[in-house]
This record gives sequence, C-alpha cells and structure tokens, in this order.
Amino acid sequence: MQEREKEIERFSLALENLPEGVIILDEIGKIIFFNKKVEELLGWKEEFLGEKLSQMKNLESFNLVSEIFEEEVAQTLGKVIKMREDLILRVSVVELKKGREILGKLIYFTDITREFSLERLKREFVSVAAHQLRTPISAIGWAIKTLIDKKLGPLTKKQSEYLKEIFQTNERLVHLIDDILNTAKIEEGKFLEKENEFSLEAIVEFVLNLLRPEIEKKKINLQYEKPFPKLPLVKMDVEKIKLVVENLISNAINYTLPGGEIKISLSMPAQGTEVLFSIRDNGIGIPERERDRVFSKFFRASNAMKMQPSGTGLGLYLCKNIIEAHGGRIWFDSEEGKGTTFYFTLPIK
Amino acid sequence: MAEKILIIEDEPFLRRIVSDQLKENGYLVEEALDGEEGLKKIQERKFDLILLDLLLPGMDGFEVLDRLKKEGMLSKIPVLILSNLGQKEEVEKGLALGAKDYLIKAHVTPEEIVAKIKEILKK
Repeated sequence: MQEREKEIERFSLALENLPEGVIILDEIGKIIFFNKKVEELLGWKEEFLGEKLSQMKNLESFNLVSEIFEEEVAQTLGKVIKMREDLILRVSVVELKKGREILGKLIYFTDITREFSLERLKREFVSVAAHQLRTPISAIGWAIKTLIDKKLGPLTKKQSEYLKEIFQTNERLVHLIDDILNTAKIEEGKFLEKENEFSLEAIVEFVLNLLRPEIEKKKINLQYEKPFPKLPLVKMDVEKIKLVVENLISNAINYTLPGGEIKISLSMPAQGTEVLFSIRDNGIGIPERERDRVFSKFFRASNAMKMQPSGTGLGLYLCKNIIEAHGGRIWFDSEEGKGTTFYFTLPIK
Repeated sequence: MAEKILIIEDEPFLRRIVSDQLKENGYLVEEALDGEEGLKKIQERKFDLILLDLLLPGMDGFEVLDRLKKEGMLSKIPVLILSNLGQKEEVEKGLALGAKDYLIKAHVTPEEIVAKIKEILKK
C-alpha cells in the first residue's frame, strides 16, 4: 500500500471504529459516510449512502435529523435528543469548512442513555428524600408551635425564648428542603410547566405586598418605579417568575442594613424586544473574588453568611435556571460595602 | 351540635397534634390510619369534614378522593388535603379531584389548619 493510501485507510478505520456515531454529509446534504455505531444504534443500512438526509422523513431516526436541521443551524453542540424510550443521544453538528468553502457537515453523537437514567434516579432520590424529611420536620414544627402558643400550659420567659429559637431553626430546615425540591425539579427539565402571557408588573406588585411586613420591619426605604406606559405582557411560567422576583427582593431586603434603600424598576429598553427588571440596594455588596460563583449551586458569599446565616445558597441558582429557561438573561453589578444591583430580562415574543 | 371531623393520617404524632388542636376548638374528632379505614368510617358515619393526607400506606389519598368522587360523596362532605406533597402538579391533581383546599404540612401551623377548617365549614 502506498503511504498516502495507508494514511486514508487509517483515518477511515479510526472513524469506523469510534465508540461515537459519526455521519458525514457533503455540501448538498447527501450522506457520504456513516460508521458502525450508526448502524448499531440507528439501524442504518448501506443503501442510505448517497441519499439526501432531508429526504429520509419516513425513517425512524429522522427525528434525530429534523431536530437538528429544523433550525437550520450550522452548528449544534451537545444537544440531548430522545430517540426512543431506551435511546438518548447527545448530538453535535459541525460544519466542515475550508476557508470560506463549505465542504459538508459532520454529525456525531454519543449514547448517553445510561448516564441519563442514572441522573434521573439521582433526582428522584433527592425528591423522595426531601419529601420524607418534611414529615418529621412538620411534626417538630407543629409541636413547638403548640408549646409556644401555651396550649399545653404556661412557660417561663426563657423557655418561651428557647422554643421560639427552635421554631425558627426548624423553619430554616423547611426552606432548605423547599429549595432542594425546587432545584431537583429544575434539573428534571420539566421546569417551565405552563407558559402564559402575563404582566411582570403584576408579579412585582404581588411579591411586594407579600414582603411588605419585612420591608417595614427593617425600616427599608423602598422605591418602586412603575413603568409608563405599561409594559407589554410576556410569555412566562408565572409561578416560576414569581419565585425569581421573590428571591431577588428577599435577597435585597436580607442583605441591606436596617434603614437602607431598595429601588426596583421595570422598563422596556429601546429595541423593544425584551422587558428589564432591576433591583438596586445599598447593602453589603458581593466581594469581588466571589463574583464568579454567585449563580452556582449552594454558593453563599462570605459576608452574606455572616449577616444572614440561614440562607441555602440555592436562590440565585434557581433564578438563573428559570430566567435562562425563558430565554432571558440575568446579571448583576456590585461593590462590596456599597450595594448590589441585579437585573434580568424576559424576551417579548 | 359539635361538628365532626375525620382525620386520615398515618403519622401518629402529627395525627395527635391536629386532633388535640381540633378538640380544643370544640370539634368531635375521629381518626383513621390509612385510606381503607378512612373510607370505611365515612360509610358508617356522617362527617362534616375530612382532613386527608396523601401519602398513606396501601390506598393513597388520591385514590380515597377518587372513590369519594365516584360515589358522589364530595358534594356532601368537604375534603381538605393536608400533605407534604406540594409540587404544583400534585396540588392541581388534588384540587381537580374535588378537594376544597390543599395545605402543605411543612408550610402551616396547627392553628392555621384549624382556621382553614373553620373557613370551609362556614361556607
């Protein structure tokens, strides 16, 4: 064999035997190569060579194709596609380009069925465990509340104080479990349940009413800039967006000193493609070295932990997931000791 | 005459706390440890309200609701769900099956449970 032939042979053997599925298309979308893994997982046969992918609509594996090409994207990286109940693939598409000339497309995929089901088991376990934890915690909470309310007889001042502390601690556990359940739920991917056209303004006002006692208790000066004219309705999962707004406003309250200032505003930036929510506080701020991790699961800033020991570090992680699932963006500006502003957008349409 | 409430709840301590609180408020209370016992008691006696847990050994609370609905009992006796299942779909399912309201155990105090029962019975 010539050196050149050997080289080509080596490449094609390598492709042929890869543990990933590989399909190569030419510049007009004809199949010019697929490897053993494609035969094994999708049942493709040799006669498919030379066919145009877009003409194989009756093929069982067509949804692999249609999902990718529907959007006519040149590139897809790591898209998870459920082919059948027992076959889940992570698929990528790369355009084969030489300079400006497009020579074709490379589609490759990995079978992640097992990974996927393990991940699901893990989430189900977390969800069941969290539910199970709620029962003893409810029992403790109810019993202590009954004692605090002196239903079982009088208490000394100190007993009363201790019981109230225990009750608060138990409430922290309740919140932690709520957050864990919500997180498990986000990761189940079925998080956006019902999307309706709804007013972000109405949500902000609803949450403000809910949190009004805390705002007053801390003597916080709250300014709320109502948008004028009214903002258009936005397609959203109302309960989830409520959760985001509640998290952001509670954070601002919790991490602002008594007598501090919070300013909330709603607007529609000039392009008119999205609505923008922002909340500025003059609270403790986020230390610079910790900013990269603000949206990570279980992260809590060191100064926040000192001020409010009871947080779970899941709130902003939830917010980010929810906003991104809606196609929006979430970010912040902050200066330690001076305050923080959080922003999020939701696309209109 | 005092109103009669049936608590269907498998966790003894939770059952006792609620039961005590209700008796304190002048209600007559009966207890059932699971769905089957609950249904049996409902067939035998007349209740003014049923406080229903969902995760029960054997027949679960959803099934109890379903049976009551099929037998046309729900128009006569209001059911208040008191459960620690609290995801949106579970709440919606419970209400769709005809429960009057849905309380999540970890989110309420015994007093709030009594207040909700009073509110339902007043209607």
